[in-house]
Amino acid sequence: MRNDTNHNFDRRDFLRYGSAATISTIFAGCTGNQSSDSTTNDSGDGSPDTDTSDDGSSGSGSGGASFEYVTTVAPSSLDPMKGSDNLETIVLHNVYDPLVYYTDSTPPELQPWLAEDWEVADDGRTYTFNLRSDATFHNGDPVTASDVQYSVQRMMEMQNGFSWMWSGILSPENVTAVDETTVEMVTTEVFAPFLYTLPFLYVVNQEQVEANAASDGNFGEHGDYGTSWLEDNDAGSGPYVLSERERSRQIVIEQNDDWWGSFPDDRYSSVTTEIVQESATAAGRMREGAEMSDQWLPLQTYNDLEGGDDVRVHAKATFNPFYIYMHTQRAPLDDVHVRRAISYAFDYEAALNDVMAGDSDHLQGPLPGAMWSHTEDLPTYEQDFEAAQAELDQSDYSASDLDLNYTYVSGLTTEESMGLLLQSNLQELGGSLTVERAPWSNITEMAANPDTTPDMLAIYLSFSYADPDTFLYPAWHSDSHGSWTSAAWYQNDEVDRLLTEGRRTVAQENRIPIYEEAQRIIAEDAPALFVMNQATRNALSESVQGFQDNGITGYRQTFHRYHQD
Amino acid sequence: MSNSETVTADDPGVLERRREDLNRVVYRFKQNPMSILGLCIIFGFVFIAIFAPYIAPYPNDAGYQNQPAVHFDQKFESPSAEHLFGTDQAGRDIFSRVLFGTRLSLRIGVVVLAAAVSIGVPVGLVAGYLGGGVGMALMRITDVFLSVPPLVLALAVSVALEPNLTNVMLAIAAVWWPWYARLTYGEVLSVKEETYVEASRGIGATSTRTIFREILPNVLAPITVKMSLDMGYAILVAASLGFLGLGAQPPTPEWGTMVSQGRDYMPAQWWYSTFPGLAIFLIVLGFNFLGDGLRDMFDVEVQ
Repeated sequence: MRNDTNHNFDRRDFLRYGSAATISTIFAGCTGNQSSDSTTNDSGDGSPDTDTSDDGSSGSGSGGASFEYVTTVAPSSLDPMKGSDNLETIVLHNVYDPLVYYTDSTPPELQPWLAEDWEVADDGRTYTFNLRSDATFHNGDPVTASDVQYSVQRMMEMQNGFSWMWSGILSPENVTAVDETTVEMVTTEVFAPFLYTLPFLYVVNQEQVEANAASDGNFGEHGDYGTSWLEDNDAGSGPYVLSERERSRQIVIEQNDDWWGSFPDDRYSSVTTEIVQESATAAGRMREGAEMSDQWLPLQTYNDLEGGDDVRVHAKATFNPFYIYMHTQRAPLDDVHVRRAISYAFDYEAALNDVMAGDSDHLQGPLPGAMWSHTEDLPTYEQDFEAAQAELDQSDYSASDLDLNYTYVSGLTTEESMGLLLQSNLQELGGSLTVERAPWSNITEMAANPDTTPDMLAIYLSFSYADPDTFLYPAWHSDSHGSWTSAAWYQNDEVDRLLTEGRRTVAQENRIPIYEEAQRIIAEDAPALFVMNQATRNALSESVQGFQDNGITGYRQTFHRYHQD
Repeated sequence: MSNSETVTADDPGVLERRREDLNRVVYRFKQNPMSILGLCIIFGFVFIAIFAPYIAPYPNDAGYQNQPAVHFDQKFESPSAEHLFGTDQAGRDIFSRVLFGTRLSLRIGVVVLAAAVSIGVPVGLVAGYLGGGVGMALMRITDVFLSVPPLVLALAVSVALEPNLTNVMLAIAAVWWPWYARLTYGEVLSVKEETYVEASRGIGATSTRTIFREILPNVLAPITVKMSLDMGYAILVAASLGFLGLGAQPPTPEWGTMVSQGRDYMPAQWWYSTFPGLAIFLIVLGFNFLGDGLRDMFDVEVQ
């Protein structure tokens, strides 16, 4: 009363907000429907002249069209040595050039990029790259071998972004500029996937970065290593120049007229990445004529978009395996028969056809089918309750002992649906399962310790470099324990030996039998439910040509390869 | 003032006065059609909560009796006679889930308020009655809790602990009790100088007795009114936490979580968010109408 003026806000506001929230929910439905109706009118006359950002800083004036990419994910950093997630990679490889680049085939191969050609010495550790002589940075400086050396140094000293790929493999002092256009790199040990990791090593202009580095920072004599300047500017040589960045709103990149490579004829000379909060907004932007959306909209949204006139949805199962890890060091899941019984109880049919739209693949073993060395010569699991019961009979447990928990990442509907499906399957078997969600940060923390790791954990194993090692080593080698990628706490000395050998063996034809054997053992041990290789979806405007999904996170959006019809 | 401790019940005048009081109160309540409507809404929801298993066409879709059902082959069916509110991404009947969600929301409201009142009211009583250093200390602690925005504190608590239903209720109660402490404190200050309190102390009653038998009954009205007003607010905060991904774990039907999940499917699958949203809207509205009515009825200032 007298002294509680603070009370004033709560009830009236609460009434207001409460009703406002509900009403806005209702209205969102209505307006959404309206916009989808009205947009069919104006999207017919093509999308090229939608944006005004054509006359940007690059002074291109080359008359290409503008491209609008809609995403719900905001990048945290545009520093080429800090970026590591999907959207960051998209911007980075369009603005910076790496030494080698991924082709758009599946599985992706390497193609010369800043490096015209390269050779590997017989020791399997010494790589020599010959750089193109015509490549220049956006400020006109030539790209030299010492810039490459500097880029490796900056990457490994900052210990951020993609540097984990080379930790223990590559150190700056083992990279030498032999001459102006020749770089030699010596890895500390034989690391067969090395070349396939290089598309993530972006080359920066040493002079420009040093000139713009703030003197105080975390990197000693390097000050801040140019990190703050690089958030809003670029020091790259790539096909596009970073022209505008409005955080959490949009990123604009403009065509680099002096790029050494060539664009297709009806190229996109300006690409605007629009960051929106809600997937419904992203879908709305697609209907209004945006050129492309990211791959994280709900499945149902893609289905709805596909029905529209000017939007097509590209769906392809490439490298997006979804596992349900089982904690192999905790009873009753430490018993291989229990794990197999669960593998036989899960309804893969419903998962693939009803939860998903029928275009995802049932995983056979840990590797997606499109990855080289994948073998079909291994035990696979279909729903079969008799087989499940037979496996249980071989174990010390009965179905009623199965009282497990399944944890998934908050907000990922597909993971939740898979959990609910597994819940009803286990119930049918006679066990029980609780389905729990947790924020991603909690999950990485839980997976760091075997005691806190959940019985079953839903994980999309993200794909980085195009090599089987990227899926197998982080998940099944005991060196990876403590990471979310290895939440099964799987320990098998033979698999450890094979996976290490796979890394140390240079020739692909020699590596294939090694990985085939590893896959066979892993599938037999069933440390996870190998549920599916999920089809990746991108919504595209009908006018966009040249899109190929090579399955590499971030490397699908090669805007410089796209063109209009 | 009808203080039952100081008069004897067989005094006819007192009984007469009480009946008049009651009549006046009921009359005031009836004068306000909104409060009647509020009461009807609340009774409706309580009825639904109690009889949900009998009303809901598909109780297992809401996880009834730990027999959760999923029908992925029926996902996203639009509202029809078979599924009044349509189905969600797991093919579950949204109507059944909204009905069962009532149980959860009412439970959260009741538990949160019970916890908040049982902490806040004693703190306020003691602080107000004793005053001085103790009262000062208690009220400053209360102020510390009040200085943090409720939703933020609740978020922090339910993230720091594991985000499950119990912790969410705990978190909301932790941000709620200070309001009751403040309200009670203020009320106690105004009644503790009344003659009947003086008299009680004068005849040698203990502090405990004075607080609980003399003061408490006379500060109950504003607390009751605030509780009925807060009920809706507590449900709303719980729904907000659910919306933000904290709260009940699947497959437990929770309105806020349903609204949140459904918004990804706007506008095409509008029914997913809309119906649980309407349920939140209605229950909150009901408690507010009721609270407004009660406030007029008891003729007290709460805010």
